[in-house]
Amino acid sequence: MSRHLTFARTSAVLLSAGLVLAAAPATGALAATSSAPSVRQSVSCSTNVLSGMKRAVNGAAARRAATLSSLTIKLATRPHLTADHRATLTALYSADGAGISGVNRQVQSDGTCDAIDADAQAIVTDYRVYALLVPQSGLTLAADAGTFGAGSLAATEPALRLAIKVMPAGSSKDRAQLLYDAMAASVSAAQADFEGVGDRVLALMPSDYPGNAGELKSETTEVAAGTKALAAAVSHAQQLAALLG
Amino acid sequence: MDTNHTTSSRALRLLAPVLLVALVGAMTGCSRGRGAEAPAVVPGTTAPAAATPGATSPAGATPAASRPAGSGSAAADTSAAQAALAKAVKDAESANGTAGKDLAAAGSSAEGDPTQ
Repeated sequence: MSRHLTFARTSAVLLSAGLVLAAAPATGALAATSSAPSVRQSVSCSTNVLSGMKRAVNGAAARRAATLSSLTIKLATRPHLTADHRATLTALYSADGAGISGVNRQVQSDGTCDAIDADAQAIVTDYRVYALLVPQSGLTLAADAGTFGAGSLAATEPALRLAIKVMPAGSSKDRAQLLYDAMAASVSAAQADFEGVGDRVLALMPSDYPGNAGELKSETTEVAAGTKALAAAVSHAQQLAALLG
Repeated sequence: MDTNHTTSSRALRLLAPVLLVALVGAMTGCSRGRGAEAPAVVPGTTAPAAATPGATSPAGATPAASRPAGSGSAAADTSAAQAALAKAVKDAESANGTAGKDLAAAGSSAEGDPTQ
């Protein structure tokens, strides 16, 4: 995927150190110096430190591989995902897994702490597995499932209109019409909330993070509103079903 | 009398093929007509799971919707709507439950590890 073609090697030493420290508390020397890059670079790169950094990076890569595996399994259990979204997510998981594995291999062959420092950060900055990919996946799955659910209810609307039309005039008919109107409005609202979410979140790039975090949050709000609207539609539909029965 | 009889027989002979063709045509047409009125979706059947959202047409919805009001019985219309609604409610409820879980998973990851 194009989003992973840019392997920016910025001077985000602190970020890289955070990755190492989170995975390897044994590297005490690094822990004491993680708050400032300048101090961090003054630490002597002993063999023990070098090994510790490599183990930490290996652990970080393994955790991400496990997450990607979980996401892949989850994808297979979601029948309502669109074909395009399924293909995109599958390709992303595969590309990210290969890319992170490649970075890890590079780190394991590095001979200096500075080299590890420069290479390891790519595991975070080039993929953003936790900050971006997991939310992208969840939002896409949620929006597509919600779209299917709302579509199921929308498909009954012609039959419901007809059933209400042939009801004898009276309070039951009036109540049925009110419930139908409420259901239809909620279905429309849910469809509007879910529409386009998958396409938009899957277009977000790791290289733009955290600049695109706001958009991720906005889409999360949309999907939350969609699930709420769909729940309301289901409730109205259930009441309408009881009335028709 | 003979002249009239001869004329009637001749007319009958001339009309017989036409009447036969008309009769066969009418029978064929009636058969097609009944076929065309049969529901495209048999009520109670399960529509295939759709990968594309909105592609599913709940069973029973199409026949009831395509029939003009008053042409069928009110009971049939209500029954079709009930069947369609029951399935749709089940599908929508299940899908929304899944959506809620996926949404929660998306949020928890970002909150738990915001920089990575």
